[in-house]
Amino acid sequence: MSVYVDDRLLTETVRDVLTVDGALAPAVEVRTTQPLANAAGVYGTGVTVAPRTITVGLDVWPTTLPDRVTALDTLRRRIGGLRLFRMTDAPTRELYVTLADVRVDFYHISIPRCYVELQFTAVNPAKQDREPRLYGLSQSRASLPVGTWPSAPTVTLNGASPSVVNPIIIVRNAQGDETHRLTLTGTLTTNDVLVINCASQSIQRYVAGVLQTGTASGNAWLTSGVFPILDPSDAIDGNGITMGLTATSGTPTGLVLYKRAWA
Amino acid sequence: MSASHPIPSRAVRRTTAAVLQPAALFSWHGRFASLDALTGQTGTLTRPSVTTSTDTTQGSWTAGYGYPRWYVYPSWNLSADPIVTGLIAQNEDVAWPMDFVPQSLTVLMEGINANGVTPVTGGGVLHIGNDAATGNALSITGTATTYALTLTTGAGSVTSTLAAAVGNVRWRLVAQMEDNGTTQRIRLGISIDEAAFVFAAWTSTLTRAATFPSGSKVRINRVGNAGTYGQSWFRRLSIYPGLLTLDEATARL
Repeated sequence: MSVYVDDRLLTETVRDVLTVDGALAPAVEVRTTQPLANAAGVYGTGVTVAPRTITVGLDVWPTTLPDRVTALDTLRRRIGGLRLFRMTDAPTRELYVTLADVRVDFYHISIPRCYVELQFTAVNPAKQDREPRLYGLSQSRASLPVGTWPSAPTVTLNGASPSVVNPIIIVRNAQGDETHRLTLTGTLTTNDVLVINCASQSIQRYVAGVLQTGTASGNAWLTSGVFPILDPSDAIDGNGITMGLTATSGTPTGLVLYKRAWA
Repeated sequence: MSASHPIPSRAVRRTTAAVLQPAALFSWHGRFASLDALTGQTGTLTRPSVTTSTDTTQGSWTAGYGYPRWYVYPSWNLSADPIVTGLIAQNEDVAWPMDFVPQSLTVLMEGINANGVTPVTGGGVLHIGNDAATGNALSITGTATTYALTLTTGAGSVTSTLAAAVGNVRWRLVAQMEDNGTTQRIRLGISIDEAAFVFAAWTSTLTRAATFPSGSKVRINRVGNAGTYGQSWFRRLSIYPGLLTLDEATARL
């Protein structure tokens, strides 16, 4: 078992990865107020959630004392700052981590080999799919599988001819009950696109590829309801959540794009 | 075991949000479903039309005017990724501003021939240069049977050519430019459908280009803003300093 940092195996830099603690357990507490990331690795304001701390123990075995300095410098360069972290036993899931601390333990000051303990902090404790999920939207319901942690999707709505008037996004749970409804007021003509970011809770409106601002912006279309999230508590074994579109008139189409998230 | 000093943490407080730190001059991955590169460059898609693409269920979805056509293939590498998302580009291109200078570098591109047959003759896969496709540039173009990497400097141009992926197959292209401070030379490498990776021989050398033209961009699917579309599905484009092997480049963001 090893660890990837930014798609590079740590064992390229060090002799071995001895321990990894906190990446799989303890499981992240799931709160009744679901946190929503407003960017990769960053939470929205007014939301608190415990970060995940991951500790990685490394066996660093350079041949000389100067090599040890070089090895630690190289390691530091490759792991400092915001990084993508994943493990070889779950290679399709990753999370954003920041290096919080490095501790170097020497067996003896004159022996080059040393034990290095890295402590990473993941502000967003959920692991996410590396590959996004994309599902076309229409007035029929699209099934949206989820992981074990809520996902905040990005929904795109297209204009059409005849125009789509006052589009609505509806999410239902596995039992078919409506759990989220987002109602918008406006008319989408052929070359219009709305991009609804349910993580940052914002709406961008494009007309022939040009972002609209001010009173013409997408945010001005928001009428009522809530930005949908895909919550595993609405699913049965990760399945059953659906999303569909409706409108006062016209035939709405679009796309929902998200990454499943895992506790 | 005796504990010694920890490596000190950064003592400077950032005033902006942290960003990923890919060890690249430029890096864009389709799996992030954003036109913006991980290295910060903002991508601009040019496609003045509404068209369709393919979602995770392999069903069709409609991409609005100018909206990127994220396209899901059921697999790229069956052992690793169950589904893969990239950007399909037929009559469209994506361009990013570029700020780096000519140097020893390695370009890694992953993609699939999107027209399902062959690379488009004269079609652009990658272009590092200005919109008018004049002056110093590095580009990859296709023919029905080959991919060609071309370096253009004030001293002329050299081209490295390899047999292309034919049919609806996956390709990894590695373009290297070696810069010794006086001259530059290039070579193209390719792996098709995970098969063994091969490099072409190094080209002859040219007196080095010290800069790319003003307003240069990194562009996929076209050479300049008026060239022939290469018609490919793009999974990633990364440009690294130095000469890297395919494995080394693949293992970086």
